[in-house]
Amino acid sequence: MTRVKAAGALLASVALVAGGAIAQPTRNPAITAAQPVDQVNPQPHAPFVAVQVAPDLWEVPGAGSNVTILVTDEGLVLVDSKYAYHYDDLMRVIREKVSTKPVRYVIDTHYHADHSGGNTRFRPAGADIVSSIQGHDNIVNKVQPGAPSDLVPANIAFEGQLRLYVGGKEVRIEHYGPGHTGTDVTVFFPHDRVICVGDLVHIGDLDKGGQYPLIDYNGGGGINGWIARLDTISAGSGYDKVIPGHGSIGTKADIIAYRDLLERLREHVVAYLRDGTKTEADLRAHLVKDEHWPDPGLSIVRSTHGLYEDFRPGPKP
Amino acid sequence: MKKLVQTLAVTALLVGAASVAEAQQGRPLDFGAFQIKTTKLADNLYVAEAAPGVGNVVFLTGPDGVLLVDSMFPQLHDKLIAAIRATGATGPVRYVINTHLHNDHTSGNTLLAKDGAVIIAQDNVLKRMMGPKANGQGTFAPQGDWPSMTYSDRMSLRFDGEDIELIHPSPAHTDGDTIVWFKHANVMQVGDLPASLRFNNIGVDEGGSVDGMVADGKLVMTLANPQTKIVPGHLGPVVGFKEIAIQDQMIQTVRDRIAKMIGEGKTLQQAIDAKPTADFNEGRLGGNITPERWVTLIYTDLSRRLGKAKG
Repeated sequence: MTRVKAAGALLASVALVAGGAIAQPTRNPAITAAQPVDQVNPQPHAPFVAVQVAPDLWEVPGAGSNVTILVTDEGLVLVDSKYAYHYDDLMRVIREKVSTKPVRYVIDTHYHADHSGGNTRFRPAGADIVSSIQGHDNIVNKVQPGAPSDLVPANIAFEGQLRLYVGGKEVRIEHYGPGHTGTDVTVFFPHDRVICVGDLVHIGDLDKGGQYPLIDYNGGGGINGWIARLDTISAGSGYDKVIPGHGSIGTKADIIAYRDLLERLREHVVAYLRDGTKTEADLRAHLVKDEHWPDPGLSIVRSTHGLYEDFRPGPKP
Repeated sequence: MKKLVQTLAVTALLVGAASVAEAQQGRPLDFGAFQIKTTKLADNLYVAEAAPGVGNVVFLTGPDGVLLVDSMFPQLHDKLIAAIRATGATGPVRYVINTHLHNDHTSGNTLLAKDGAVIIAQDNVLKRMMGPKANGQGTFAPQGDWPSMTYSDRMSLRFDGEDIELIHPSPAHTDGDTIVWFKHANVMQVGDLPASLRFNNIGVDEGGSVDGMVADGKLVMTLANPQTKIVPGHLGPVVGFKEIAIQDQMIQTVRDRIAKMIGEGKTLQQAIDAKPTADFNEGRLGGNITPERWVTLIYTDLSRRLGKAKG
């Protein structure tokens, strides 16, 4: 954690001093975590464990995505559900360590199948699946390459905010514009002072590929909206703990550090494209060389075209 | 206790809600006398009408269970459930969508929620229900009626094979109105937005406004199409663009007359005495919202907004 925060602070100061365009932290180009994993066929994974975050709040980190679980007298509220093939192992650890109450709601932080894959099992089991309207639409329209063809979309979708009151506890879900995707929601538990931010923030996995932001332009994402959103979230004061979609639990400082990482990337891309002579292929090569993005990798494959269109000088289509 | 509940219900009606033709001021509603008539709107979609004029509940049935729009009064709960079961519907009532906070649409919530239903409404419904009553005693609505799921802008539900869209229009009848659109069946429940021909209440103390009413009547006609079966909160139980247009025009005309009188410095009493609704009175059921009461609501709303309150 300390190392990650230090890295964030370093990035921030680099951005501040050098305009973000010159000095680059060294990264390991051999990292493969940003590569696609098989989203359909079961993959081996370390046994799941349940970590208690607050008296009524638990987390099951690990393969797929982090899953957050609120326990109430009227049932459980889950934030994200890993891949469908994790369902049995996930439910086993929940039943053994967390609660035997029924799962009432499963909230998709966004439409990617490492977060929403469990919908396919939870929905037939009776849970209501909640997502943004665009999250629902992206699953219906099969926007994500390689996602399971039978992925089940939310049966409850919303625009703006949605609040659930379950067993006397409030759960506040908020949808944003472009970010990691166009479908990102945060899930706030006011009584526990905890916010789940999905893949809007990476914490503690920056050495495993989390430092290469995947800006899913095809899925409605965008770096400008993403940075603006992290400014909004980090301006909030109702939370002490931040649960990301992957990696470890952090604090507001981690949101700011990740925001600064994105800001530095944006300034770098803007500076590189400024003279108007660079092609999209040039940008891709530059991201490999100067940002050490793995190629091919999810980040470079999904983000390059959108970044180029966002920041190349000249008229836009 | 029952008497108290009924008196409260009537009080709420008087200040807040329905166009119950038979209810006289100060006399408790005779719930035992109300009958529920069910009309089929589509394969698995119905409207239950507590006649005459007490209110319309649209209900959707199917393998996922039952979904209701609005919940009437608790005194009508058993009759409503019996009407739903009479269609052959099985399974629990899973969701109740409230078109707005007034208790002729929401006071049945408690019993339905007790049996497991999730109550859905726009954010402002909950905010106002949790807020104080006008007399300062307790909350606007009992806690059992409060929604357990609220949305800010827009929401959609997939249930019993139907796509249900919840749209929050600009403040009109109240500031927590929801239009419920059953897209496959092409049925739209518009709550107490302008639809049926009546002097319907305007929740001027619940964020509603006469100009919002006119605007949202037009909005319904842009969201829907001429084939859409439009279910108003009262009467109908099915209307179309014709009724909305007539009602919208009537509201606009009376609104303009009252605005003019306010501009001329006329008092509320003078506005009432001028009978600005006279040419529209025929055929309009107002129930507790008499023409005088209706003029008072519009005058109150416009005076506040135009900042020219007289008398």
